[in-house]
Amino acid sequence: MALIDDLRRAAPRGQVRSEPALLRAYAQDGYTLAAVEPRAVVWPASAAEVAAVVRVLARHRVPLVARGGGTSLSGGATPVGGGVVVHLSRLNHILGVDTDAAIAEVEPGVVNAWVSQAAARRGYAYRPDPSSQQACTIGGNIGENAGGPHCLKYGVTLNHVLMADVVWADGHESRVGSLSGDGEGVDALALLVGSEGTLGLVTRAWVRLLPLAEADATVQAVFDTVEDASRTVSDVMAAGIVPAALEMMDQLAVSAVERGQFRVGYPADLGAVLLVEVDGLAEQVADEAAEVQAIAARHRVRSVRRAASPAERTLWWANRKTAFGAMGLISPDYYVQDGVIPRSRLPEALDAIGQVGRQRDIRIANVFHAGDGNLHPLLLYDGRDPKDVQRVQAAGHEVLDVCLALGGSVTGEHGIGVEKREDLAHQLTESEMAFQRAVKAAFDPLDLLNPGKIFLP
Amino acid sequence: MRQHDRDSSEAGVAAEALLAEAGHDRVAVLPVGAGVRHRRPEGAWDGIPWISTKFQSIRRWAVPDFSVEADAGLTMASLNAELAGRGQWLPAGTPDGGADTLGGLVSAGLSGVWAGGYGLIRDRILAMTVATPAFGVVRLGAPVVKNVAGYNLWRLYWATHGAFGLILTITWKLAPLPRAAATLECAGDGPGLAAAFAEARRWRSAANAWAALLLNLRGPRWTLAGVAHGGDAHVERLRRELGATVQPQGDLGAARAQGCPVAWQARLPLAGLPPFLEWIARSGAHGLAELQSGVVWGFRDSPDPQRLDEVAALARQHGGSFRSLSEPWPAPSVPAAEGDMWRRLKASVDPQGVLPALGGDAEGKR
Ligand SMILES: Cc1cc2nc3c(=O)[nH]c(=O)nc-3n(C[C@H](O)[C@H](O)[C@H](O)COP(=O)(O)OP(=O)(O)OC[C@H]3O[C@@H](n4cnc5c(N)ncnc54)[C@H](O)[C@@H]3O)c2cc1C
Repeated sequence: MALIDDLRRAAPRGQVRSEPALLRAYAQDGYTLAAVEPRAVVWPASAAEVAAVVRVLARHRVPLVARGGGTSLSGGATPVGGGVVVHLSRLNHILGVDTDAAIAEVEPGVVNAWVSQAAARRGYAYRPDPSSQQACTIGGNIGENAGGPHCLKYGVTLNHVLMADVVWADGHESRVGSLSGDGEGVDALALLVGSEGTLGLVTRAWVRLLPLAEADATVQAVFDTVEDASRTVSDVMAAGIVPAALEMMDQLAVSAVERGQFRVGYPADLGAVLLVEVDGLAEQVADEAAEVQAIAARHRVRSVRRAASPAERTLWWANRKTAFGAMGLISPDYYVQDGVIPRSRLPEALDAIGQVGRQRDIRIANVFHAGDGNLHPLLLYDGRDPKDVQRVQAAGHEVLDVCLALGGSVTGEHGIGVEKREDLAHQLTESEMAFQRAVKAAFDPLDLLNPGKIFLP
Repeated sequence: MRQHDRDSSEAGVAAEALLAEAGHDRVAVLPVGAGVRHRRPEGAWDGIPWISTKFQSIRRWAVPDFSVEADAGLTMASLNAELAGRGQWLPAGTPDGGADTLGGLVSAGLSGVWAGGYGLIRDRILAMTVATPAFGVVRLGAPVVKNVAGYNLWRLYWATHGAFGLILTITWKLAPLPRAAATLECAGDGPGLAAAFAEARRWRSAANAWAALLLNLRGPRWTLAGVAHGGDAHVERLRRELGATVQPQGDLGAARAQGCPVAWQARLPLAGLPPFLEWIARSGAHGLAELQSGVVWGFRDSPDPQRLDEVAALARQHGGSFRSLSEPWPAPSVPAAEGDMWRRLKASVDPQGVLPALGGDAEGKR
C-alpha cells in the first residue's frame, strides 16, 4: 500500500480512504449507465495538498479523476480509467465577494447556489445556474462549462470565470486567466473550462458577478400543442427580445413534475408550457413581458400570465428546476440527453425525437432550454431490464444524430464524458479529432488526468 | 466520423496551398488583414503574406437563429451594414471605427465599446474555420449558441496573431438592433476624476445595464456618455433622474473619437480602473474608458504618445492587460509555468514553425 501511504503523507490534513463500501459509492456520478470503482478516494484539505497528491499520483503513474458534486450527467466524474478520485469537497470556502470589482473568489468545492446567494445579498448575481445548482460545485461547473436556464442572455460558465489557480498533470501549479477577463498572450483558462478534468485541476477560481437586474418578470404560457409553443419561442426571439431565460416542458414532463414537491397546478391535458423571463430596466421589462404575452396569444395560447408575486415566480422556477428528478416519480429510471440544434429547427427536432421514442417504444419527456435550442429529452426506462438499457442507449445516440442532422451539436452543457465519445467522433472529422487530441497530449502527455473521457481509446 | 467535408471554398484551398508551400520552402506565413493596426510582427518581415481581405463574403446567415458565418477578411463595418437590413448587428468595434477585419479583430484581441452592455466580442464567437499546417482546414465549435463538444479550440485564435493557424471564417452570435437608442451626456473639468467617478456611480445606480457607459478624457476635461438601448420611456426617465443632456442619436456622442485612431487598448479589473484613469488624466493623454467592462483605449493624438511602456506597466500593475495597436505586434506571451505545454501544442499544430511564433514569458502580464 505504498500508494495509499504516500497519498496520506501528501494530504496530512485531508483524508484518504479505500474501504470497498466507500469505493462503490464513487463508482458513478449522475450518469448511471457506467460504473467503475476507484482504487481510493482522497479529500485534500488545501490547494497545496491537491498539488502534492497529484505529484504522488504522477510519480506512481496512477490516473486520477477530480470530483466536485458528482452530478455530471455524462460520466465526467466516473473513474472509468481506474485510479484515484480526488474529491474537492473540502475546498469549499467562499474567500471573498468584492462588489467594487464585481468578482467572487471561491474554492472549487463551493456549491454553485452558495455563490449566487452570497452575491444576491449584495445586489449581485452569479449567472450560470444549472438546475443542479443546489448540489453541483464551481469546480465541476468549470469542468463541464455548465450552463443553465439563465445562460440564454448571460452566457455559460466560460463567460464568467476570470482567473483560476490550476494544478497540472505533473503536479506543478500556475495561475491562468486574468482578473480583467482578457489577459495577454495564450489563454489556458479557455481550454480548461469544459475540459472535464482532463487538462488540470482547478483549486481556486475568480468568477464574475453582475449587478442584479432592476426588474424582472416571468411569463407562463400554457399551450395545447408543442408546435404552438415552439412557434412562440421563434417569434419571441425574432421580435428582438433577448429573454433572460426561455424554458419549455412538454406534457409528459409536466405530468411528472406536478407529482413532485413544487406543484404549480398545470392542467393535466396541456401540450407544453413555456416559462419566459425578461429582465432589465423596469420600463423595458413591462413592455417585453406584454409583448411576450401578445406573441403567445397569436399562437393559440390556452392561458398566459405574469407571475403575480416573487413567491409565485420562485415556485414556477422550482417546479422547472426539479423536473429531471421528478422523472423518478413516473419511471424506475430515466436517461437525460443533452443536444443542441439551431433554435429555428425546434419543431422538426421535437418531431424527430418523438419518432425515435415511438420506434424504440420508449417514453420521452422533454424539458429544455428552448431559447438556446438546447434539448434535454428524458428517456424513461427500467434499469433492471438489460434490453431496456440497450434500447435506451441506442435511442440516446439516435437523438444526437437528429441534432447533428439539423446542424447542431451532441452536447450543449453536459459534456462528452464517457457517454458521448462515439457521438463526438461523429460530430467531428478525423482532423478535428486529431486537433482535440493534440491538446490533451500537450497538457497531459501521460494521460493521467481523467483518462477514458472525451476520446475513445 | 463526419464526412471529411474539408472547406473546399476558394479560401480554404488557397490557405492550404500556401501553408504547404511555406512548409516546403521553410518560409514563414504572415497573416495580414486590412492593415489598419499593426503591419507586421516584431523582427524582420521575411515570408509569404496571407491576405485575408481577398475573401470578404457572408457565407451563411441564419436570420431566425441570430447567427452569421462571415469571411475573416470582411470588415466589421461591412458586416454590420449588411446585418442592419434584417434588424441585427454584431455589437463590436473599437471607438475609431469599423475598418478592422473580423479576423484582425480576433487575432489582435480587440474589445469594442459595447463590451459593457453586450459582452466581449470574443464571447460572441460560436465557431471558426481555420487552416493549420498539421490538420488542414478544420472547423472549430459549432454554429449553435451552446456547445461543449470537446475543448474550446477556437479560443486558441483570440489575440494570438495567427500563431495557431489562419482564420478563414468566423461564426458569430448576433444581437437584435435596439428598438430605440439615445446617448445621455454630461461633462466636467479636473483636477482629478473624483467628480466623474461620482457621476458615473450615480448613473450606474440609475440604470445598471447601459449599452455603453463611456468616460472620455482629454487633458483636464472629461465627458461621461451613457448609451441607453431601450424604449423612449426609459430614456426619458434617465434624462429626468440624471439631469443629463440627451443627444439625438444613440451613437457615442461626444465620446466618439472623431476620426482619431486608437494607439493602445487596456482592460482593467473594475477595482483597478479609477487609479489607472486618474493617471491617464494626469498625463494629459487622450483616452476613453468603458466603465462597466474596464476596457480603456488611448488615442494617437495624445500629446505624448511615446509612453506606451509606462501605460502597459501601469495597466499590469493594476491587474489588467495591455495591447499596443500601433506598433509591430509582439509574439503572444506564454507564462513560464505553462511553457512546455504550449510549446508541445504549437509543435503539433505547426510542426515546421511556419506560422507566427509564440513568445516567451511576459513578466506580470496577467
Ligand atoms: C438534476 C440535474 C440537473 C442538471 N442541470 C444542469 C443544467 O441545467 N445545466 C448544466 O450545465 N448541467 C446540469 N447538470 C449537470 C451537472 O450538474 C453539471 O455538469 C455540473 O457542472 C457538474 O458539477 P459537479 O460539481 O457535480 O461536478 P462533477 O460531476 O463532480 O464533475 C464534473 C466534471 O468536472 C471535473 N471537475 C470537477 N471538479 C474539478 C476541478 N476542481 N477542476 C477540474 N475539473 C473538475 C470532473 O473531473 C468531471 O469531469 C444537471 C445535473 C443534474 C443531476
